[in-house]
Amino acid sequence: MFGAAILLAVIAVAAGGYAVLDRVLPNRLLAYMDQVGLSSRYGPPPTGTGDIATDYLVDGPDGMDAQGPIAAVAGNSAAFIRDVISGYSTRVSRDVPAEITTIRPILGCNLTPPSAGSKVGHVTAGRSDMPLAMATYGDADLAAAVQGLVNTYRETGKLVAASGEEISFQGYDVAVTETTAPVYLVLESSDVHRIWNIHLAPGAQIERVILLGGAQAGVANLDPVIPVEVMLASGMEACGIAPAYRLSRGNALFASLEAGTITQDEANQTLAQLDDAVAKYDSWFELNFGVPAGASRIGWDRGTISVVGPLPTDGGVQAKWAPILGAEVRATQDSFIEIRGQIADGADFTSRVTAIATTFAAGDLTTLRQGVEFR
Amino acid sequence: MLKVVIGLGVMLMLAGFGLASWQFLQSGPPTTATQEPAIAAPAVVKKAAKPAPVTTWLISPTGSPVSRADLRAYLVQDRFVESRTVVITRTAQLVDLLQAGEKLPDTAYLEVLSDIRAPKVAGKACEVLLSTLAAECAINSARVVPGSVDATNGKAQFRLELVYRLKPAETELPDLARSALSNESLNIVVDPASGRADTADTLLAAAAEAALAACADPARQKACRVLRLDLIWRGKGIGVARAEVGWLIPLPQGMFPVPPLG
Repeated sequence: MFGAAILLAVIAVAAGGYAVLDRVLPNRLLAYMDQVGLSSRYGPPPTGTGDIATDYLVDGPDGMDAQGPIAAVAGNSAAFIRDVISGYSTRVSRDVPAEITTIRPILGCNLTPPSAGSKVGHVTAGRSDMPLAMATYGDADLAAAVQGLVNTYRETGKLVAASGEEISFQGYDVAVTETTAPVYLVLESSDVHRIWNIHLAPGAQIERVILLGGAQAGVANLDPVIPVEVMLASGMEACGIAPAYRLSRGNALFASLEAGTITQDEANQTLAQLDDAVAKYDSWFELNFGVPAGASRIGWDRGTISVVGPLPTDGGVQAKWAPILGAEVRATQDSFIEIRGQIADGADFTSRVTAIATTFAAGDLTTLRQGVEFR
Repeated sequence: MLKVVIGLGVMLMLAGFGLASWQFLQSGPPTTATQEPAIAAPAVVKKAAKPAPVTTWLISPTGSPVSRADLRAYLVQDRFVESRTVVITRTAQLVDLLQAGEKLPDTAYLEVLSDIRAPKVAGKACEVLLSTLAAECAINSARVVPGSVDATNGKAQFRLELVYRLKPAETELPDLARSALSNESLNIVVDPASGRADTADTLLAAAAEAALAACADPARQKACRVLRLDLIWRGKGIGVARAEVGWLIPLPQGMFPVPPLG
């Protein structure tokens, strides 16, 4: 019996990868597998022996990429996750929060500044690959998905409705180990639906949370009395604010220059434009939060967690991981919100997309097909 | 215990090799069956007749080889070819896409609705072609032009591509080995006052007739054929058209065609 179970597990992993295990094994066991290096989330260290955290940080063409169990820390350096937070897990795709409260983006362009005596923690999140069991979408998402279905059908002859991955909230963890002063958190996301999961060290206090960027944004495991202000990507654009940071040396631009794909003049022109944008954003950021964006940034282009405060080795206190499961979440929403496993048949995103496409095709999706067969 | 371990190992190996074999088979070249569309093609998709052997090369009057696209557009008349097209870029009212009792959806959906129902805009274009120069006509694609929806005025731009076969020629082709293929692109001017640019269909008819008239010109000596038509129609009386025609001329004295290498 035991052998058969192992056999089935091996076949499942071989056929579908470790993602199959994500769907069947308990989170605690999966987290343990992460820690002992049995999961596919983290491969071998890209450089070095893996004894130091920066062995897992890759300066690639798309930016700084965390390819191991490391957290971004002050100075945008790296530390092992196990050293800064206990009980950490990235297995959150099935976690359903206990309560979701809708919050609204601010009106206008002015955010509440930090108090004197508080410390500003500026976290940036790019790609985290941590989809949650929550999604939100509106008419624009539905229309884009219907168009995607039409395009796919016309190109391949196959009717494939979008699964809605792009409308899922993506998690990102913020461990706060600063205990000497209240922390004013500025959490800046790439243009996805983002939920920031806050994990506090004993004694850590949050003064206020500012959510910048993202198509939609929210925060989990934050005391309900702590104010949250949101300026989504659309709001930033309306206020003329465009986040910009200097490129790392591994960026594709420098590789293109070395390869001769672009000239030095072209590269200089691009870099000059970027410098202007960086200076402009730094200036806005410092005006609002008292620190320049680039110098205060903690977070890479790909990663799962940032740490605000000192490392335990530097006198800090380790934070304790708090799950999304059963948490209180405050988030902005589009017209529809969907919790995986809690949606009526036919009311989920994919069903809506198919229904709209069918209606527009006058009840017959085969009419979407076009093209003469040439020989 | 040893037997259990060995047995488990053998089972794992069998499973592994079995799975590897399965994956290898799955990764092979797709079979005809897997390339079939999931849903049967609608009536708009027409299959061509059995292809006939054709000349694979011709030269132009300057001695350079004629492009494969032009060659096929000119010579292959027993079936549709990709390069013999009528492309119509036209404006249409969004309400014209609706069925009886329907209303336009929210603005976010106007583009995808227009794209799905774009074939409706093609209307009688094929009938116009059949009444002028084509023996057979089909809509190859009908799409909304991305970003062209004007929700305020309820309009959008559409790009329609028709393919056609010409009506049989009254005279046979001359000896291709002693001929060169000449072609010409003609701008067709339609007087708005004539009423022939009042609709996309009347503009198409005017363009097709102008192309046929150009082919009838004695200057385009033998076997003149309409290779392509392009139309842009932006509303009543506002339209432009261009036709491309091709015809054969005798090889100039002293020129001897040599087939391209390979």
